[in-house]
Amino acid sequence: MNTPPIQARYGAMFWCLFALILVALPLPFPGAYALSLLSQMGIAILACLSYQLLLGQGGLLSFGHAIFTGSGGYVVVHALVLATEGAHTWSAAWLVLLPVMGGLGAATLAALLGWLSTGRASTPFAMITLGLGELVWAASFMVPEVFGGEAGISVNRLMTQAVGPFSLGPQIQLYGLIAMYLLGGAWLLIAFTRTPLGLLLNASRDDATRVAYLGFNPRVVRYAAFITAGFFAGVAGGLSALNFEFISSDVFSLQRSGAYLLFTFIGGSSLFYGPVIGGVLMVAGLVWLSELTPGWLLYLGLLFVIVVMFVPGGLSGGVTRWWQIRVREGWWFVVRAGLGVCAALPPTLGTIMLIEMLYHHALVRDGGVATTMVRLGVSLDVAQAANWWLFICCTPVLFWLCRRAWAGLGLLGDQGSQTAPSAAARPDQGGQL
Amino acid sequence: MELLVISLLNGLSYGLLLFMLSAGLTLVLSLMGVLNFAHAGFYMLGAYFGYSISALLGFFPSLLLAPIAVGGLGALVERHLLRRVHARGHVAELLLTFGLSYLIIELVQLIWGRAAVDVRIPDVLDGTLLHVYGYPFSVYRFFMIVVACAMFLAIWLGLTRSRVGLVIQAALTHPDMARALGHDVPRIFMSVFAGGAALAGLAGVIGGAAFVTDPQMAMAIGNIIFVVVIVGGLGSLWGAFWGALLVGVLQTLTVAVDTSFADLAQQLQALLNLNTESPPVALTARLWQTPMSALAPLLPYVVLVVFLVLRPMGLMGRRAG
Amino acid sequence: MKPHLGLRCIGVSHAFGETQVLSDVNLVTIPGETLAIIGPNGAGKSTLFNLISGAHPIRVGEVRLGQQSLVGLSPFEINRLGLARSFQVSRIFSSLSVAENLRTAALWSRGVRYNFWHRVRDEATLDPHLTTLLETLRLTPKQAQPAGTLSYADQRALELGMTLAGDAPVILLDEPTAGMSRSETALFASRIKQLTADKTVWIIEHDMDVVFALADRIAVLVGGVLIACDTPDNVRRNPQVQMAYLGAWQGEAAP
Repeated sequence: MNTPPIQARYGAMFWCLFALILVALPLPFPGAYALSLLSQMGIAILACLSYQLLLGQGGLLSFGHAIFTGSGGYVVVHALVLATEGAHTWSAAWLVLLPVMGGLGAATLAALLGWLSTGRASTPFAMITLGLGELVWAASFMVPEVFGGEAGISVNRLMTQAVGPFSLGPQIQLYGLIAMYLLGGAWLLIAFTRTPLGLLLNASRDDATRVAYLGFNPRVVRYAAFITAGFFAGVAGGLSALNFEFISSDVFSLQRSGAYLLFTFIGGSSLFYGPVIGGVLMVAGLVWLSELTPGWLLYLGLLFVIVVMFVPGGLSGGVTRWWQIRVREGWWFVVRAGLGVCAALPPTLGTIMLIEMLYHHALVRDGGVATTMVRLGVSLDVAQAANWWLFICCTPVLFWLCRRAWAGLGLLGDQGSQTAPSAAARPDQGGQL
Repeated sequence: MELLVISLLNGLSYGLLLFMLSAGLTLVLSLMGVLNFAHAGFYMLGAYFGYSISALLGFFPSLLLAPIAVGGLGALVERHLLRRVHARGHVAELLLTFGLSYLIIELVQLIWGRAAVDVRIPDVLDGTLLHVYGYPFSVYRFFMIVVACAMFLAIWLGLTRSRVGLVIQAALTHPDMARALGHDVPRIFMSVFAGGAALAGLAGVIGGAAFVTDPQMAMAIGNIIFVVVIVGGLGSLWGAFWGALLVGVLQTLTVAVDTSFADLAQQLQALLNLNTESPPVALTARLWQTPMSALAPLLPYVVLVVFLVLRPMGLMGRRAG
Repeated sequence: MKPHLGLRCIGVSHAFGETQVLSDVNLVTIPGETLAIIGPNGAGKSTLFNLISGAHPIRVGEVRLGQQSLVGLSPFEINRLGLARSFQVSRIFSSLSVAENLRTAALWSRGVRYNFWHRVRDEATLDPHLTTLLETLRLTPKQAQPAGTLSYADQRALELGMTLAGDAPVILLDEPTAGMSRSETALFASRIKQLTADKTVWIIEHDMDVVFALADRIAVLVGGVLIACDTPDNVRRNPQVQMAYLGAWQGEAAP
């Protein structure tokens, strides 16, 4: 299947539309909570975009991305502390440039650490970034003066001199700043992929050795990508520090790095839409879902495993493939897909109920909560064995029925194929999007 | 210096425990090219299974049954999950095990709760074996050393003397050829993966009684064994052995040794009759005064970076990666 | 235009551990010559290519590209000096399109380095040199297709194209027609001849028709030792070569 070249998909029309959406988003979602979520999503998308450069474009699995988002944040925090503690009151206009400073700080760190990390690709690279990430995290506790130790460092955006109505104090103004950086960052990152270095990065993802036989040192290619990704990660981290007005050693944790990996991967191999989906899911999962149910981490883990096993190329890759099938088979495919989704709902709901019951049971056992739980409008008593047997027996049956339905609908085409993996099947290879 | 000796012994037992864990990891990595992120999760499961089985049947039965249970789980994981993803490359497999590691932690918390559980050392293994310069060396630590050495011997003999072992060694470097010769390579993979998981489970039963058994234990030791595997060289069993000892001894030593750099520097100055000043910058001075025990958590990663700079292939690595 | 370069191996030996794979191989080719290297499996032919192209370090002997020694150089350095090689198992960039594969292969020769400020993928057309290459290899209708979806023969063609895209003066071809049918092989051989007209080419081949069609001289490698290096006719008549090859081609090719 021939895919249109990059410039056709990310032309002027695309950017105008993107900018419009960013501007219009806060309108249907008024309220401080919604605005805070949107801001966090913008930051998360930028962080995932930077991670996609390594994962999707370069085939480099990094477990230490939090080093760079974290250091960007610390640069911004310390710059703000320096600015507001002096006698001179700085103009808020400088706040706008702070994330770039964060990016530069992170890029410098990436330049220092990168040569060590990019010697080899694949598993060794993953391990080295894991080790470095843990090293930075552990070291940050040793120097509380710089990193704030357990308590962290708080700052205040409002300590600067406003320029007219713009002080970056109100959340909506910060959202505007985040949107601008997201627009600019996405544009730069997509432009990067069109350059020779971007082409070489894709090539070394597919076959780094061949790149060497074509005159280029693949290590230099990886190194350059590492620094670039580090820069944009630092920008995202700086924005995050401005957003929360707080930072602590937590930003370097393996949990953070793991989150970038998890969600960018789930988002998928698409250059742009993957990180968008990933960033939105990251905030939705970590902030919103965690408030809904105690089982949020299990759900995320399951989603991740399911995507790894059954949806190569992630969610955006899956959508691309399904769209290609639709082009081939027409709108009838959409009908069948819709029916397939309907067939999958009962077993999914059954599984969710079981998981919720498990967690509620654990809560009852550990903490003296009432044994009745209410989910999705249904009230269930986890002390009653009948409820358990109901779901334990029904859910596998529903799964089996769903599988039969999918087979009948012809939706089980790609799985279990014995042919060599196609270009879209490898999760460490970005798609044409 | 008495403290040094006892710390060395304790470090040896801890290092051998690390080796028990990393041996399985390195074997799976050598054979299948998969870096199993869930390996520490198998360790944790071994500890928890050991806890539950101990409560029912006693410690020594759990020493046998828990690793079998974890090994069985490992076989299931390989057969139904990992194998599906095998065709898509090592990165996909790594990601799968990464996701699994989260799932294992959540399931453990669901079943056994979020608080630490009390795993008791059996009475026969409790107590002091002997006193080294006045410091007690526990029986249990000695037991750990014995089990680890027995395990290493068993693996080594199994790999080099048995037919299965030879086939595994062959499949290590030439899986296609081994398959062409009629050996069931997928079955071998499953066995090795299950074996690695069982080893981790065994380490878990033993480690769980010696140290704390809680849902965080996987993360805590997981990173350290990755350092061990890298330092030892990806894919080398002997490398994992020496790497584990190095990391284990170093960590134990720094926790036990409580002098700060400043004291050390002063002692050194006194010894050499030097007259240098301590660093003027406040930050460095504070670092200088940090007790070495506080730096202990940092140490494995420092060792990692040192190795990455000086000897990237690790102590004995032969895997190109 | 790139200068014409010759390639020579001087006393090259190589061992993998205890096993001696190459022993004192001496081969000289003048610029523009095509040398075919033949020999039974395990004779060390691919190892020789690996040594020349930088995959293994040269410990004994020397390899010279023109006047430049290649000892101790890495593969990318050797490629920059003017030597390009193809692989027996196609090494292509499967997620990139055919055109992008060639474009990548031609970057260095166009003077492009690790450049991240120009746009190279937005160019609607390829260089004329690459367009001609695509046409000769019959890949023009598939140029926007991801390389991983090509048929085996097309992938071999792309493999060859990538080797030639940089317009290197010295080319090493490692069994370019491996796995092809008879008709595909004949066609492919004629394309190789057309595309490497003015280059120095060393080609490892098992198919004798291809060898005789392309080679100015033939080198025979058996057990790591060069037992003959001469014109095709002389090699055919060489009794040592006939002894080493109890094979069919001796009867096929009538003197």
